[in-house]
Amino acid sequence: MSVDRRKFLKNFLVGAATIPTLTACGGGSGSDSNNTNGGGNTSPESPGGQDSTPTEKLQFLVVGDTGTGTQGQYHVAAAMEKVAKAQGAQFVLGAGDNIYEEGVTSVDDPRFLDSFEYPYQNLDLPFYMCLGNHDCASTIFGGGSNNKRGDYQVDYHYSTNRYSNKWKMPARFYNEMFGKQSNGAPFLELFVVDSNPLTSFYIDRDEDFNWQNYGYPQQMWMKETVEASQAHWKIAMSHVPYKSNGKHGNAGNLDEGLRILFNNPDADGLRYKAFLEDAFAHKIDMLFTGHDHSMQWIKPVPEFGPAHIIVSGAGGKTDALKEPERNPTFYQREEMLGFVWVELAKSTMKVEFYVVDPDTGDYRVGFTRETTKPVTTEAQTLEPELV
Amino acid sequence: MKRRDFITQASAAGLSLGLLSACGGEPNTDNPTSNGTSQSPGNTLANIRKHMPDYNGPTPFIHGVASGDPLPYQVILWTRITAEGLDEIPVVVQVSETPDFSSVVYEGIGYARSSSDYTVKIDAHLPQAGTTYYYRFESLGHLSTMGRTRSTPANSEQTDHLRLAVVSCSNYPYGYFNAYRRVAYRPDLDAVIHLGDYIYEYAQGEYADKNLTEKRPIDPPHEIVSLEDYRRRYACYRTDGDLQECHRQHPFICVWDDHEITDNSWQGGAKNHNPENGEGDYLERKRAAVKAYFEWMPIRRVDPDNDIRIYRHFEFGQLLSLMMLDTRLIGRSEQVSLPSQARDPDRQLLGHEQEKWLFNQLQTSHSRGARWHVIGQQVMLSPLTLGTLPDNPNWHIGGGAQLNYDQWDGYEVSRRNLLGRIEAMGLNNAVVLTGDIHSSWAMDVAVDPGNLLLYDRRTGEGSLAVEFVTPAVTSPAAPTKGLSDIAAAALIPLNRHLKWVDLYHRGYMVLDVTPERCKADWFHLETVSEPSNQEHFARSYLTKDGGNHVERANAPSAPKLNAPALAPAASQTTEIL
Repeated sequence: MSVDRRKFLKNFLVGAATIPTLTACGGGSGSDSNNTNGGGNTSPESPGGQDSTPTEKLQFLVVGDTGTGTQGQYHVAAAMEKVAKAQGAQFVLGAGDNIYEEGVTSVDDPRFLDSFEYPYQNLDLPFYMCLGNHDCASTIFGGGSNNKRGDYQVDYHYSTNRYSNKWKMPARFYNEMFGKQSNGAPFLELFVVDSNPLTSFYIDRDEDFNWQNYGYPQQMWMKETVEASQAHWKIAMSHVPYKSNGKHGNAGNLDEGLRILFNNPDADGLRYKAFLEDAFAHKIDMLFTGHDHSMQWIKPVPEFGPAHIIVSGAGGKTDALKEPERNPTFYQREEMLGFVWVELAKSTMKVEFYVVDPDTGDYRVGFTRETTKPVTTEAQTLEPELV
Repeated sequence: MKRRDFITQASAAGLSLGLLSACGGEPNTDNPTSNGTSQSPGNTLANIRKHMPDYNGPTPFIHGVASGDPLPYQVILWTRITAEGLDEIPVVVQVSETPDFSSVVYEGIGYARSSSDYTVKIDAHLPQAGTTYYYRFESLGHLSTMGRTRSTPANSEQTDHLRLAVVSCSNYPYGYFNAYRRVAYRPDLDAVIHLGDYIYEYAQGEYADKNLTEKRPIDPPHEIVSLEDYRRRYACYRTDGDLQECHRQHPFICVWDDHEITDNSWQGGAKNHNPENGEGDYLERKRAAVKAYFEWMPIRRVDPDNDIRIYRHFEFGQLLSLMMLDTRLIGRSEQVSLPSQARDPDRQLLGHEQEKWLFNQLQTSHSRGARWHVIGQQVMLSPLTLGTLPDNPNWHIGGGAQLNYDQWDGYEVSRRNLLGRIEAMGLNNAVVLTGDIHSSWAMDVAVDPGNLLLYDRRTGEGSLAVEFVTPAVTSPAAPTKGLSDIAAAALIPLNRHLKWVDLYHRGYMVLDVTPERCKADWFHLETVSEPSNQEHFARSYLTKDGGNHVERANAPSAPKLNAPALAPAASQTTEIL
């Protein structure tokens, strides 16, 4: 597809194109693989942004690896609904694998309904979504070699024909601002990474998604965007973990022992690890990921700075922790569904892990911890760049 | 450079005094012009000269002069004072555009103190970028020999030609420093890059040419361990006339390798550190070695909070960025001996901080539009194996049997990180300079040179960068040329990225850089067993702009025309003022 055509389609989409128009335009590809599709910016409808009074608190839910459409996903959704009602939540973060097992193949794919709209239909909050390997896969194995498929999930954000307005994915990777401080700067800025092209099991032959054309430009964009951020709280979300005690493991050595089945030399996440450290280390307060179907709160590690590292990948599937001692944790839970509720205040954050029984749907608080804001403004000094 | 900027910069240096011609006055060295920071009325050149300690001995400048770490408007000037019984000795330095000192552009003062082994370093401010200067020190009624140095071209300048000599592995008891002598004779060099093993730590006779024991005895005669030992070893090396001459004529850009501390050193230990033999605590030894290095080498401290940091960068106009690394002390994990251990993702060669710095520098260099991105470092980056197999990190089958896990082969993840970054950035024109291995090599740098699909040995396609390895000044590799030829004939077919290797000759490399290509000319010596001026051109390889692989060239590059005159030989070393 030519660039001009892509632009045309994109403009059309951003405008008010309907799905039938699009299909008429040329065959089921409402996608945009151009890198301009990355780096989407804040939409004016940011929650908490309309009010002129400074934000005191923000609450949100984090859930990952949701898109099964099974009973488990409905159980988690029901629990999220109750927690949001009881404790407040302004939005939800979806940490990827939004549509199992192999994503969607068009912007009007019914799996948007089965794996997202119906399960969360009673939860009227915007969902900020991130792409996972299954969203970019062409087989049920989730090999991630079809990144272009992820574009349909971006297109769905712009679709006017969708079931609800909850789905937020303005670009494959993007930032989003929430609330405001007294000086007008945002209270929270969210940075969403598209990790699949950086770590897929199998090589994507589409050159648009290689490191030169996609990975490194994303890295530079992310780094610059984080550096320029004036937000009080900075939070990143990605699908593939930076650290995890689950079967996928730590970036740099992902899927140890399994990789013999893979052909992408980047499947160990060595460059992905460098990406995350380059863009986020010492700058963000929290990193949320999914991919491993468990709940983990991993303690900060020196090379990443004070950020808390949270894996919330049990929104639809469960898994065992493979190596519970791999990284020191505040909390970890295997073989249970769950999600995380977060409350951010000026200088403290409260994180609650909710555990949901996959069979009965019973839920309870698994762990609660309140702590001070990891990155203090004074600590954000410039690095010495001498000679 | 704007004159005002120059004055501002000069004023910022607490030690600079005169600045006379830049301030518009006569080049009168006695004019006590204050430039803002030298508030004390007593702290003037005239006063300093008047109040020199009493001294009637011979010239105190017996270790020569040196310069290093050139920037567009700054250079480190070094000397040492040998004057028994004195401490806190004032030393004045003058910098001139001409060898006759008719136009002095900078005067500064330093103090030779026992706490720094009487070495003096002055970070002189220079009015012009890309310019050759002459300097001399003055103390205790004596003038030093005259030194010559050169500022780098201004960062934004379209430099069209640079020449850099590259040396390493200069073991004093293993031979004469004929390589330094030859390099000293070349008036057209912009700088000399020393990739480490500037000194060796061994006891007399332990790693030496047995025939030279009488002629090149080392001091102290035992293995160096303490601060005093390291200082004495540097002092011993610096009495060598060829080394002094090389320092006198060119600014050096130096990094240490292992022998500046002890053999195969890493962050927390070294192969040749033996506490059981009374060598004490390694960290103490490392501190001593590092302190002596900073005292004796013309290197600028880049991070006041980190004594051990020597990784730093230089910019030579728009033509070249030079990143100098420390693959030894600041981040290296302990050496291992098995390929599986070498792939441990937690092992580091550079350490997180330095790696991050390097990647940022590469990006900066890329963004500022520098043509060549040169990485000066110690140990071989490219694999050296007895049979290169495909090397996908998911399969852990490849790489063949690597021969030396002290080099990047032992730090697979660090190498993949670096090459992965170069690939991701789409960075062209990365050139790696290497020492350590006492031999001459020209190589393509590919992520997986054994993989026929990823690297084509005939066209160089798939190569991401090039690596040029400089031979030793004196340290030996293969004992005869015959053995070297046999080894080379075996290694080249087994290492598909390897284009040339000579394991026999000592010598040096001249890196000749133009916007069109970056070229390494190897010069080999006839002998290091006796003082000699004999050298021959050995080989030449170049990489073209955008080529990212080596190609053989037939002849060495032509010298620069109108090179600035070498500093005249020392006729007035001991002139009483």
